Amino acid sequence: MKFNRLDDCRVEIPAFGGMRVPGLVFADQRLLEEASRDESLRQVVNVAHLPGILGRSMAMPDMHWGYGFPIGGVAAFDLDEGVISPGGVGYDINCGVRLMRTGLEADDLRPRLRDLVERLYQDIPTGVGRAGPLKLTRSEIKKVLIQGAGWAVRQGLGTEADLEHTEDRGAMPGADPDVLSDRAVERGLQQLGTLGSGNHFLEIGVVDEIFDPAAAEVFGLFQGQVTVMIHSGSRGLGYQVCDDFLQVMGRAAAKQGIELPDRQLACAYAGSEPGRRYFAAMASAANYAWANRQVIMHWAGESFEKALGLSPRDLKMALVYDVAHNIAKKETHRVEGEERRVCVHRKGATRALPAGHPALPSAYAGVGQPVLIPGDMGRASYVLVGAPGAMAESFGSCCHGAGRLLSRTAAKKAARGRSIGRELEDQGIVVRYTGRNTLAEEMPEAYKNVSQVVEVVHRAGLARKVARLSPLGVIKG
Amino acid sequence: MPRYRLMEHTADLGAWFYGRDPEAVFVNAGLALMTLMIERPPRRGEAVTAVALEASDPEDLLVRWLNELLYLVQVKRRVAVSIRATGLTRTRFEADVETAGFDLARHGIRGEIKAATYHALELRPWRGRWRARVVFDL
Repeated sequence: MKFNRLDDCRVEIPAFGGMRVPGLVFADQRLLEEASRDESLRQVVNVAHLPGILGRSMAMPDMHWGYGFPIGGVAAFDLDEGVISPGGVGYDINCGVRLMRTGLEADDLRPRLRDLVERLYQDIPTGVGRAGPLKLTRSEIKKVLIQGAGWAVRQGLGTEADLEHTEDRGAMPGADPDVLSDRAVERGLQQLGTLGSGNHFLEIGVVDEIFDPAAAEVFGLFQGQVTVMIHSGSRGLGYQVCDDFLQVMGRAAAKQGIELPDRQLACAYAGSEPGRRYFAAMASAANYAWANRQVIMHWAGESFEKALGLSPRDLKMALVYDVAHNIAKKETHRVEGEERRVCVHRKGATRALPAGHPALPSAYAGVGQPVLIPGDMGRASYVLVGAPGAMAESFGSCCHGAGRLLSRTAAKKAARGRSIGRELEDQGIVVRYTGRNTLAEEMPEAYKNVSQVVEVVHRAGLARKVARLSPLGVIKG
Repeated sequence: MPRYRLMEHTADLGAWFYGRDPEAVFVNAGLALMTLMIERPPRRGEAVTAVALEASDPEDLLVRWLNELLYLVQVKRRVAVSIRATGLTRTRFEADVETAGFDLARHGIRGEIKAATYHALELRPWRGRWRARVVFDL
């Protein structure tokens, strides 16, 4: 595979074979070398084969081996002539991140941190197939799938301001619950308000460095402030939607004469019947995920209040923003000088809108969209802000996290003989988790250095650094 | 001959499953999946569920089958304890699955396996036996 390094943050993969467009990888040399160790670059090439792809098949600096699309993959397709692919969204539809700020300072919290983490671990359902206290009926879940986070607000589990500060106001248009399978609906009935497992988490953090004081002020962030980050998605419902439509798309691709370099890239033309049905199902699952994060946020606030003996007024918990990082969106972008309607697939990638974009909440119009980048549980997470370079080059997209470096077997091997929990405690980080392998598999060394990832997108002009958050406490499934 | 062997995969879990014939691969993959997920899988079954699945080809069928077992764990809270295949064609698989209730406190969890994927999927003859490769989403 040939590469042309364009500058210290960008590498082009010239089109060869069946590639319809070149590939573009946002990476410095070290991140490129790490990416070269797995199949992720091959996956950038594979995505470039799909019909209707525009611009470049892209990958962000946190890229790693996914299935079909690389994780960190971004690709946009013409809405009329291009495809839509469940593999370009992922199984966990609208897996995403929500960041809340509080009025608390970390130094004041530390003496009560363990109590707080324990309280959160008890109150927020985590772990395998774990059901939550919210039990939906089949008619009520339909409202969740259409209204998204708005459903939770209507139940008293949030405010209008929360919707204002959520991507798409927490509900994508175009959802249609009737296209979901019975099994997908069944899986969603008891999981609303559950965190999940694996790399999902709820993290208490502290703002430990401000890079852009003006943007930080607009986002309500200050040095030493306690924050809360939630990473979760559409749970079993989203998984079932993806699984159902991979089968549908596999047949559709064959019928529509689309040659697939990888079966997991099963797709259909976006305007075709299966394409339209998938979009409607995906939007429904995306809305479920936004409702999920909204509910978890509300309960987290209540846990803080109970554990710390604070009123909501004293806690001052407020939503900074909520972003999706596994999703396909219908958006308008400038392509070769013309405005076009496209379907942007972000598979482990985050939307990053610059100042002045019409989709921004009014409070952020002057600065841009918060871009939330969780790192590993031992090091840092980042708040960035969308920059004009993202609209110019990456269909308004940016990285989503640190990206895995080690396989889970390699991570468990590296953890042998060590107590990862103790190592985190020694750093002052309190962790509570369910799965026996969770800590080893999710250990900090299993991930790329998020600071390096963020540095690349900052230098590339896709998003600018605003603040760095360090972990204080984490709950995981 | 082991029932399975893990393969390296950065973000998720990949495994090779083995058997004397495709039916055995299906059975072994199903049982291996339980041990990959659950620390102390139950040994005694309590009920038998008849499973019948159809798909477009044998590889697709394998993914359907493994996802059916995951559905039983994640939604019905039932773990497959023993599997007796009763029929396998290119597009249809039938089995009697003996299950037991899943209790997190008693059985423990190694880590959640959320879905079998189509990525790098393979089912083919190998050295006089058969083997399959499946990548799971975690």
